[in-house]
Amino acid sequence: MAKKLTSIIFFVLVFFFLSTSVMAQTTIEIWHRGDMAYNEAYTQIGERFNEKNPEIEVNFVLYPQLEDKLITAGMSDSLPDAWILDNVTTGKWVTNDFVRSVNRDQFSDQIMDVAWKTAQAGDGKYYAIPWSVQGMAMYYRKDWLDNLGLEFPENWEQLINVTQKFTNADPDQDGEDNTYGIGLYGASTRGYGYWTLQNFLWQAGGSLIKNTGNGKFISNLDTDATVRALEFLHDLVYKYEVVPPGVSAAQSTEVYSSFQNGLVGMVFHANYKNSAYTNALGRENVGAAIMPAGSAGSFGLGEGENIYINSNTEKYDEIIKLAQFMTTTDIQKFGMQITPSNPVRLSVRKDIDIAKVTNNPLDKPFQEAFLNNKIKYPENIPDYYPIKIIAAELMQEVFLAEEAPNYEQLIEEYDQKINEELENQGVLAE
Amino acid sequence: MKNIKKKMLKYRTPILFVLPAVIFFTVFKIFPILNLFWLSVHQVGRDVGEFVGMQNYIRLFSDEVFWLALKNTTIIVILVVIFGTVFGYFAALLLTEDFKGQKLFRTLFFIPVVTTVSIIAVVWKMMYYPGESGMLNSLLSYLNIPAQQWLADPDIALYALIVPLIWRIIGYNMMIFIAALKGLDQNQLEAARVEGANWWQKLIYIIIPSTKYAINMVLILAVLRTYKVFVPAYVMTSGDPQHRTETIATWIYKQSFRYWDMSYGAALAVVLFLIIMFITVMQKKFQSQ
Repeated sequence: MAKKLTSIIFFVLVFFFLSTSVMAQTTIEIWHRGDMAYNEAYTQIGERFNEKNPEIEVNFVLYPQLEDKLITAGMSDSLPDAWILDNVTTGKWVTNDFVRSVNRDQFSDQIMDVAWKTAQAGDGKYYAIPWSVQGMAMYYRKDWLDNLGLEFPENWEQLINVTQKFTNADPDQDGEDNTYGIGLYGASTRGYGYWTLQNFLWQAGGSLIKNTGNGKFISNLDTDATVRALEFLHDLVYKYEVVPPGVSAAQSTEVYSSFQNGLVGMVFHANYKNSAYTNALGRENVGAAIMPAGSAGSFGLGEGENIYINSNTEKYDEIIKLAQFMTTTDIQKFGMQITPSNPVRLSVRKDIDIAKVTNNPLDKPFQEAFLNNKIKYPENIPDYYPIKIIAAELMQEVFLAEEAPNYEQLIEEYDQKINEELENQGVLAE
Repeated sequence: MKNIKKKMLKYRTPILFVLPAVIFFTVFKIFPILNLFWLSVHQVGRDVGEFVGMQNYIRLFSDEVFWLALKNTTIIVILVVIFGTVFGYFAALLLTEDFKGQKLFRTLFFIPVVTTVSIIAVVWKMMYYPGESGMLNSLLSYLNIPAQQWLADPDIALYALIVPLIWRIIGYNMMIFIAALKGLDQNQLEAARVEGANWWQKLIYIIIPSTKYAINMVLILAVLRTYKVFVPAYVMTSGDPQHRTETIATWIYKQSFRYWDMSYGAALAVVLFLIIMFITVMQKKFQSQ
């Protein structure tokens, strides 16, 4: 009897282990930020992947404060297998050995070069897979232009003219003096002022830092272009008075709502407020266009999100498989179409006509900006965040000065700060 | 050894009662504080790296933002403690009197205490909207005072940040003072009245001395809580403009999680801990005298 019982237990155990090993799934954990709507969108993508790859399950986990969470998780060796985050953080993860490099040849050749550049570190290797890109362009009030018989401004001179009319000529025709020309970001918090400065600086032909080769950089603030950009922005606020009060503390939420509430006629940022704006103002009243050109052209700041792979994960191949899947035409299109929150702002692929996919003409200028090389990304230094803050503080200081400041002196001071930061990061050119 | 064992056996029951609290306190309070100091003297990246000694503490002397944050925080503490205590005390004096609607007023005063801090910060930020249509600016326009850029003007931003902090703490202080005022010896007050003492004399010579323990407690708690002020400061201004509203806590957060300098952030946190400890000890010493 005992012998019989032992044999039964033995067979049951063998069957149990065999069945679990046959059914075993590898589960990849990926962290992302956003809100529950994003989590639902990512979960749908994970389910689609799982249908095609039943042996791999994907668990997307939402962390609204993802960067903070990753830093603490990194220190306690509890990072997830991968995470999706702003491409400007690449240098930070590489410097601290958080991420593993990837072979670009394993992915579609339709992924834009400019998107891959955001995943590249100083050593020339790629440390992430581009997932979504976005670039800044200008939203404007079509109805205000029509009411005043104006065209969208194509250059800075026209921008002054249009914003002055928006401010002084009652563009909403309500008989009240309650409008302004343009919303600008001026807060130094989280580097919002940097958005303003970086865009206009590139348009003026300047830049914050310059790549001198061999992984070395130097501040490029001390140029006439910087003076032109700062002077122009200061004039918009104090000479032409086309910017709403409180610009030196303006963060994204204030600027977005000033456009959405009909206070300003123009704002610039990436294409993530289409539905909010069209719902609030009417689809026919909102337009989008490439930024008005400065003396060097029309440029906008590029942003986006990459997929980063934990350097210690044992599921590297599975994540590569998932990333390949996420960069296919189907999933990129799907990622742009999911409502209410689309995790793909603009596809990283150049073979997708974005406006056709989203059925929203507002998206068209944003894609055109990418395809016509009007979008620029900041230089690949180990940590761009401190540079962003220095630039934002410069912008804020200019916005706080009612009288035009001594630009040369100001630029010299901030030029030195940038070089000190580059030196701290060990990338300052001699 | 035998003696200790004997004592342990003798006090076994009280020790067992106290033990969970001691373990909890050690794991969640003592250990993090010690760990903070450990981090502050090491290079911290993904792992705790090489020993850097007092480097971070030396760096602190040349960190202009830290000194500005210390100054800002101290101004916040002084104003919040003074106005929060005085207004809280007077609110308690008023609301211990019997009148119709007393409970309603108590509730109204206490609502800010139970409301989430971040929501209060967002609401005040909206009230401070810098345009003429902003709530506070609309009120000013009735008085023919020009619109103010409350949170954007370097000269007033810090004080604009302090107002909601005072507003919030009044209700909390008021409740402590009401409890203390309820315990007043009514015979003593009655005797003073018979002797011809007016309200002010009763307040100065009887009420305040009788409630000094509550005042001491409120002062200590207010200093402890306000020195660590983070959420309202971060939500409303995040240190803007030009670090004029930076507090020590927001600077610790930025250094640790934005600049990713955990080691320096830990050094700043240790300094904040020492400042609070020093002030608390001094306060207790002063009050016991």
